[in-house]
Amino acid sequence: MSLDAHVVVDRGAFSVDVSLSVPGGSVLALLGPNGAGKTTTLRALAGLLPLTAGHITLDGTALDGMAAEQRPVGVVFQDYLLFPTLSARDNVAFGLRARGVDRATARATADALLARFELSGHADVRPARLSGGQAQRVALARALAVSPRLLLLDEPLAALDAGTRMTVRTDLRHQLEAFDGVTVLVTHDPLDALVLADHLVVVEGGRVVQSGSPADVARAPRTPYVARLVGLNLLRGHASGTHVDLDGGGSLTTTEAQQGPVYVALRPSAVTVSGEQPHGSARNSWPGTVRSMEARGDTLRAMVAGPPDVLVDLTAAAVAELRLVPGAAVWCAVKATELDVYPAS
Amino acid sequence: MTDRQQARGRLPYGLLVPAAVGVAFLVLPLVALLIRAPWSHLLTLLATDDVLTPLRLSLETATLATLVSLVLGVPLAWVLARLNFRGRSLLRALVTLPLVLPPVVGGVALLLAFGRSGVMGRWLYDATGYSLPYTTTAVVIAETFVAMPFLVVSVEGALRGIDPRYDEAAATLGASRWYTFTRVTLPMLGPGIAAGSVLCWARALGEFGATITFAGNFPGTTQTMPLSVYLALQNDPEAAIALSLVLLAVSIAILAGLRERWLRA
Repeated sequence: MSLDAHVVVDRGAFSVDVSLSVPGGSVLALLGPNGAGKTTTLRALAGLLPLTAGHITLDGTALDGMAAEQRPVGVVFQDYLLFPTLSARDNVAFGLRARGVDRATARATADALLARFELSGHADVRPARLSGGQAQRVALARALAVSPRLLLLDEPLAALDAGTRMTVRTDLRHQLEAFDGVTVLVTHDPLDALVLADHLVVVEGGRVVQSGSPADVARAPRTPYVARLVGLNLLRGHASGTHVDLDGGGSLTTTEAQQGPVYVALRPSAVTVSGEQPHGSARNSWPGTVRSMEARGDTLRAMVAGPPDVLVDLTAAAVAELRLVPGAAVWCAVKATELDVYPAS
Repeated sequence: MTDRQQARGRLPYGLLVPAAVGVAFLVLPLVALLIRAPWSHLLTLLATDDVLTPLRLSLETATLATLVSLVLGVPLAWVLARLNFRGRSLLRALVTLPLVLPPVVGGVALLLAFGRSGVMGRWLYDATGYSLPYTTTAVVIAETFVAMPFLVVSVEGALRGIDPRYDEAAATLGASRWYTFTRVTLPMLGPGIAAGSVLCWARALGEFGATITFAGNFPGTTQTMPLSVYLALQNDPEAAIALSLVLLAVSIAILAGLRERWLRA
């Protein structure tokens, strides 16, 4: 069981061309900024948008010629779209009833699903009276009730407040683990993707810019967007052995030798900042100017313009000691062992 | 409550005088009706066949006109709200024309269409020997012609308020278009259809111009309440007042029923 899709949707000024291959029982996350074409891809998979070209093959069956109502697909929409005039139970039973299952059987199936999602007490409640987390589970139960082979989730946690999102995310992970079909979820939140997905596809401007396991993508980002998502500095340059000339100016020494175009990734917390030029071996150092600072939890994140430009995490004590303000001249330093270097192509 | 609702604005007091005149203008005639009403023998007046027959006819024809409007008007509203096609604005203008058309013009138009020698009426008469004008059916047709746009406009507005993505959600669950319409769209339209039906029924109940032109004024078959009020005013003013009170009571009842929707603006 698997999904093999090449989704091409041409909408004049904007086009999407995304290839996906997902084995059964696994979860693929489409990650990307707003307007990247993630939801367009999802709608095309669901049959709500016609393909301009390409194909969608699920378990060897071509879906692209089928109408949405004939595809073995379940969709959880971003704002859930629970039918407001139906109780939670009848929402979950809707797909079975629409397919001709008799009322008693459909309701029994719905009740069993609601029980599995710990919603038995809310079966008779209209969607307007459910909390965000409950509505999300009802929407998932509704999509699963018709036993789809392909489950599509559009920003499944975006409508929830931050506190609820955490618990719902954990629940959702367990529910997706129990689902043996193919899951494709769309998100712009890297945490959702890292927690929920087995495989990550990063989409920007309607094209796949990177794909791989969440760990690989997080460790070796290939675009500034991905780097920013996972909280890394990403520098592009040209390597000759352990020496890298950076495209934006400046150079770095790495421990791992590479040749040709490379990316160098470094964590903001790996950069140390001092008032004078640091001494010592195996250190890369360069002068810079503090451009901006913002509080992030118990650290301060500063943007230091070089070249190279980097984000730096500082403790409040360090900021006070160095009397750092925007405009201050500083020296940045990073150990060669902290630099991750990998080929750019 | 939002800040916008709490803010009252600063009232220029000069507006109060014309506003008060306006209220008096709208309310005084109704007060006059209540003052001059023959309260002592109202029930005796209303219990006569001269009153009960047109009252029953009015209730029956207005209800039938509303049912016809529902059957034709809800699908029409759906077409106007959900289908994208060339000429939709033109169609909407045509459909809502009876809202602003003088009813008597509507009556003349109906005669020219369905009269014994009308465009379609002639064909009907030649084929079956049946002539529509001056029958109870003609009353229903005249009332439907004038009142259906109220239902269409109301239901179309309600449909536009419903996210069309509910249709998509239903489709992904395997629902056919018809199943989606009956199980998702119609229930969500319920309040809009109810409000539109009440408006439509009230308009049909008060219909005068198109009815008297197309259906005439025959006691028992085409003489509805508004027609009999007008006639009674000439030879039995007390009966006219009594009949008017009944229509006023119905109107107030309708307003009370709809207050949740409109008076809380």
